[in-house]
Amino acid sequence: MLEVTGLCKAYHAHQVLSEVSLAAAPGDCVGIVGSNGCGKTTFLSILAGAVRADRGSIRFHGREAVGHTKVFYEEAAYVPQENPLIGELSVKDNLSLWYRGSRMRMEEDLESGPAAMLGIREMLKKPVSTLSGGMKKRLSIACALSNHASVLILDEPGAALDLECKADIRRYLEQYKKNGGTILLTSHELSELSLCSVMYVLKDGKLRQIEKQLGEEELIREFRQ
Amino acid sequence: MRLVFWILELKRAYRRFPQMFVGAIALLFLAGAVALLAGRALYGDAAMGRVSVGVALPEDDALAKQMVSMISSLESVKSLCDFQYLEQEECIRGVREGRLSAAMDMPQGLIQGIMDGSNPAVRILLPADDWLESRIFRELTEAGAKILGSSQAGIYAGNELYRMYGMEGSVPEMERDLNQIFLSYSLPREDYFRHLQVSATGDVEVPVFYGISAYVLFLLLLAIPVSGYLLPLSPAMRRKLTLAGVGSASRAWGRIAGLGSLFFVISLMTVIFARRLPVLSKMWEAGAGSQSVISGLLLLTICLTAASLVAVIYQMAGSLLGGIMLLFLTVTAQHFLAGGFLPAVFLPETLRRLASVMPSAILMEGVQRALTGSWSFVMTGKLLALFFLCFLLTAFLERREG
Repeated sequence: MLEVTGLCKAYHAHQVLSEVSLAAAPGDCVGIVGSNGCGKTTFLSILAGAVRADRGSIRFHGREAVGHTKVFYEEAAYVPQENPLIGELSVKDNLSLWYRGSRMRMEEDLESGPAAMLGIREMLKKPVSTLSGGMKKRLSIACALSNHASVLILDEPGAALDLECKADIRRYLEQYKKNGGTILLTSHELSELSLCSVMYVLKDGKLRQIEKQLGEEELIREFRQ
Repeated sequence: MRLVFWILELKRAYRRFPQMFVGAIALLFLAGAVALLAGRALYGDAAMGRVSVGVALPEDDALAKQMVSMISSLESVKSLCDFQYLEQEECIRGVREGRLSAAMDMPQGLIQGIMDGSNPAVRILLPADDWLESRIFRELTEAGAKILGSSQAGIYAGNELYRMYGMEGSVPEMERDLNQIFLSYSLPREDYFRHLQVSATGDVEVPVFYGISAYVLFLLLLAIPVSGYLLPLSPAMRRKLTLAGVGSASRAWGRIAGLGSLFFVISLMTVIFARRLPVLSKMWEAGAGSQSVISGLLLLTICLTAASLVAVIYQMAGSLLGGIMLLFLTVTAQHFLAGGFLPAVFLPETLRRLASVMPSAILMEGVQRALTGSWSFVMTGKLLALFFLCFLLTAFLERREG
């Protein structure tokens, strides 16, 4: 369970988030939409603990995370827009950098965990710089989920990926939801947003719930309102 | 997590080893050529770049000629100056026409004057233009005058003491004894100076000085082939690492340790090659060979300090091309100011003051100590201070990036 209350963030005079609140239950997929530069990435970064909020509360399963980095570290799996990978190193090296557990557990994950479902085992020895965008994204998700977190935060997961990769990731996310995980994602693509059970639009620092499964024109109207 | 990150940073650095190795070979040739040219320009057999000094001796003064001959055979003078015995008029003409960098007009009864304290002045003629060679000669004459002054002061102090205690009658005897004692001490010291040469390049021979200078320059520029390793991490990577407990200081240390260890491996390979050179083998056996632990630790500190300096330069530049250009410009400029191309004693006074605080000067002193196996608290302190300054600056810039 994720509960966000009264979250505020400003960069100098620019108020990016103003009293933002939301709640997401296990199995929920929350979509955040909005025009470019409206603060979606900042919002997700705050939820992942990568950026500090000016004010507000974030609770994962009742545990307050603001001011407690360890809670973010244990409860949230964050996949930023840009892949946090080291190109010169192999897939295995990158996985071991982010992996939060023993080597044995990592091997188990590669056999039957999120890493296995994302097809990481087949590319373990490859240098990351030689991977395609889709493979890198899959690896980023596997790295983020190495803590077996119950909240997965994805910033535009399908950006610049081919259709096959998008479908693979989508299949994985559906499975993640079914297993009781909570997903928060931002996207500009309707196919990705169709996964969402709850939708919000972020505009002028305010978060407003909108209907799910809206079409392109309707979404644009929501952005303008 | 931090440990895994550091291990992976080392792994990332060693992936670049082949690039660094090829770069090292290319740089070795380049640095060797620069050092050879600089050494030849300053000390080569050709007269070009050496200090030509005209000497006008008084007629029939064998003692003065003997003294000039003795001065010209001193290593500090011999390594820089060519003395020519000429007529007074010819000396003046030579300086005016630029054929001579300086001239010395020796007065009549010079030696007698030094002994009785009347000190007839030696006229030094320098050209109106402030040439480098003339400046060098002026430095040498000033240093010589200081040495003469201090030995005379010793004799005068003895005279004064005898007079104070009413022993004027014993002054000639005291002067004779003092001369004898002075000679008995100065002769063994001359022997000492034969082993430890004093020249414009400090306590090491000219080829060794330029070897050390070339090595330091080589070490700092060796980062160019591995520039990709030194680029700042992406913002996403930095944010996630911070979240995972790997802060800016840990990230800076990881990068410095990776590069420093590469420098260390290349340095060890260079040492293994260089110790076979005849000019270094004797020094090696007397110094680093017998103090291998101290020398090894010093070399490691030098490599880490050089790596921290390079890391901060790349962090400031922020991009590949910017980093390469900034590294090249900063390193060559400060290496010149540190007296790496031309010994600091030949630099103008204002620049000379800066020399000792230049990173290259600190690193060169460290290499010299490592080579001679002579650890010094002050020098190690300077190396560590430079390392921590660069490390903290790198960490600060890394933190500011986000």
